[in-house]
Amino acid sequence: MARNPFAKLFSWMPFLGLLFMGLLLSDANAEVKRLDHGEFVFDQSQTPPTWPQSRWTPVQLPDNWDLSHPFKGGFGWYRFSFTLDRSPNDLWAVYLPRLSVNAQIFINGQLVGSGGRFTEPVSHNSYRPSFFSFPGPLLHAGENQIVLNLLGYAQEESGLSPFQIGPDATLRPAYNARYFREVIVPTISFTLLLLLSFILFIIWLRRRQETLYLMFSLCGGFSALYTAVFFIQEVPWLTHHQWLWLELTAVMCYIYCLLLLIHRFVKVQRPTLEKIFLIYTTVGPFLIFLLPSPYLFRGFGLLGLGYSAISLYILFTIYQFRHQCLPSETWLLFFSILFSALTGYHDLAYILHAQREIPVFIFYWGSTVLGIAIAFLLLLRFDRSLVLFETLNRDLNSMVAEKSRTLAQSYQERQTLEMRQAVFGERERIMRDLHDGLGGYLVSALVQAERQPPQLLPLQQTLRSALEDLRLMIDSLDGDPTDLATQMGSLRERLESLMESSRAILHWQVEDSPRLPFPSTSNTLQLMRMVQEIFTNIAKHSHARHVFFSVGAHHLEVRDDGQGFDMATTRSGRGLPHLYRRAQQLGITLTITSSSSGTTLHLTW
Amino acid sequence: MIPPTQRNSVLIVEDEPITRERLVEAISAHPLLQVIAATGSLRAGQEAFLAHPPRVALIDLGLPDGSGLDLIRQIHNSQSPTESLVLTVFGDEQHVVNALKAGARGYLLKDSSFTTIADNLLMLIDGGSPINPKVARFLLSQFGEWEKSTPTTPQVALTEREKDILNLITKGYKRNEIASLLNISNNTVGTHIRRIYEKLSVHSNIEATQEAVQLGLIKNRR
Repeated sequence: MARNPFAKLFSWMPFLGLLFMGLLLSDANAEVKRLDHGEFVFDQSQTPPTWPQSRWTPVQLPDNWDLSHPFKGGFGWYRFSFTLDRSPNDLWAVYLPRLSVNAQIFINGQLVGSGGRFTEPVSHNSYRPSFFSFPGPLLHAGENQIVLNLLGYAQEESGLSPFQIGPDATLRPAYNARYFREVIVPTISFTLLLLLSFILFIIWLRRRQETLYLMFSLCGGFSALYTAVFFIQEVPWLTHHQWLWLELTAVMCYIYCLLLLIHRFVKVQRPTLEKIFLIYTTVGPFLIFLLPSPYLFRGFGLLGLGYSAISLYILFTIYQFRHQCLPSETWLLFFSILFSALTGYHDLAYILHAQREIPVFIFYWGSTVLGIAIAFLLLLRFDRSLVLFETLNRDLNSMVAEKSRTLAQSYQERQTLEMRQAVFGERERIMRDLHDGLGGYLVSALVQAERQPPQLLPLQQTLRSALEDLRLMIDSLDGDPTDLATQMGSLRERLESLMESSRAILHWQVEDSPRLPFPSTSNTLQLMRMVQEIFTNIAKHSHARHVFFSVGAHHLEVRDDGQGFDMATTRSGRGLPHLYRRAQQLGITLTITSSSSGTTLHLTW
Repeated sequence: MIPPTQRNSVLIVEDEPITRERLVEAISAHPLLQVIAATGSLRAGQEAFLAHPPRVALIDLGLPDGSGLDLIRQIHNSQSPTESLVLTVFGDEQHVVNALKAGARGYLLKDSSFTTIADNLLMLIDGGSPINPKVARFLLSQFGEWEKSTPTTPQVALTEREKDILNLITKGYKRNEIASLLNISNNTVGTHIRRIYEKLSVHSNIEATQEAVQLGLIKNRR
């Protein structure tokens, strides 16, 4: 919806027109009198004066007592005259943009307004506009007289700025705007600073090792205290000078805490400098407290020179250690401190070198901006550390979970291992017993049988079979039942002697990964026994010259070129039923084909 | 007839007298072999070895006064060129692997035929190592463990060809079959196997040294 910019301008035209017309037609403006020429007299009486004309001296506003009446304070009287064509009927007002410290106003001898208490603790109106409404008929056609009774203090920029008298409705907007600027804004600043320093203080309570947060909360507290001077009119218990001393000391403390904060923020350790500055910040205000009151304000001004130096030092330090922080952090901090410092120099210049104009102090602008900036940075840091903490926590959790999983796993593994160890130990013992006992006896029985006459050959063969079967059992127990290849390899060694006796040549082929459908120690043993039996049969009966053995992933085949046998007649003999039964038990298929040119036994699974 | 001094000396340590006698018979029957001592106990075996270190020692493990493994270890760590074979009834893993770790070069079944006994001994003497599926499998797993645990120098790791040969032996293939399967000569297969054994002995020495360092017998200089 791109609208023509001219259309926008046209839409504003009626308002602009009305405004213009208003300015032209307003005769109210013409009625407003700006008063800056009058007469003045110092007198401690608090009723409108009736002294002879000779005591009055002419005065031009702004009138800064520091310049016009150095080292004089107390009650002063101003008198202004102005003429009106006619007596107004509506509500009128006196609008005093600036006066210090307190005043009351008389119009044509009638009290129309007062700034509050004139005895300690006095009301403070130094930093705010004053506005007193009164009924228009109090003024009459011709000459009118305004008398203003001002309470001021020596050497504190007391005095009066030019002011206006006119219809209430005309003057009020200007007063409201100024009131907003000079009272509402500091109130908001005060609230914000106090709130931030409270939040950071709470954070500090939770994280005591992070002194940054405490430093900030002190800074915020001191600057809030200083800002209070702009909107608090009535200060209980404290005299004017005590209150002034307190607020200016708060400024000093604020800058001191700011130094500590910045040192910690950019991670610089300079305890000696901090100590010297602490002494300056405590001893300085203390000494000033002992001085006569006219020296209080300027005394703080002189002390402030030291703080100007410190502010330059802070800026330099931030620049010097800019790499300790993120660039965005550094520059935000640098410029907000620079701004704050400039407002400070502005105020200091006014304090040290009085102008005729009653000054407007703006340091709280700087401290508010700086407070918000630093609070923002600290909250960002806090957020970052929270995120970091959460990430760490998450990592830690997953690490713990991982570790406990590994632990559970290794515990289980250990249990399995222990069980296997127990089984293994038991097996080892049985093997040792077999080896040293039964095995040894079998071997010596066999050796002895070898030496016997040939008619005892069957005994020898039986003994050998017993030994071979024992070996098969041990082989199957020994190794990994899934590693059929090695089992077959070991079996070949046993078959070697059988082949030697039958004089057949063995052709051996073992493929890469033969594996039974249900590999287990007993199944492997069964298969070995089958193979052993097949070979025994070949050696005994076939008269073969070549035997072909092959085993693969899903088959085992033994083929010979012997004389073969008649399947029908030999079915019951040669242990064939035995072979079939074993094959069935193993869940594998046995096929036997035999002819005069040889026999093939094929096992598939 | 070859003079006794020219024959290769064999020591037999076996406690079962009948088995021992048969071994003596089988070895003595061969013209190139000679039994210089046949004893029935560990102590007698050790004494016989120290008195006349033989070319080959056949050692049973379960001896009445101790384990034959001690003698195998003693022989392996001595300076003599003696090589030992473990005598076993079953050729079971427990016996074979322990003996190989102690330093034996292989095993011999107690009831082997005379020819097998003589062939094995002569092959060992010739520098070719008798090898069979179980030994091959042991070697493969042992080298595998070493490779995993210590990233040793490649010179003492098995080459692919050596692994191929061991794998084929595991499956029961004979030397000549391996030669034709891999298109190499019988001798080359023998050479490979000998080299594997050399690496094994290097490893065993490294292991022994490491153990000694761990036990504090040798100061670790690094």
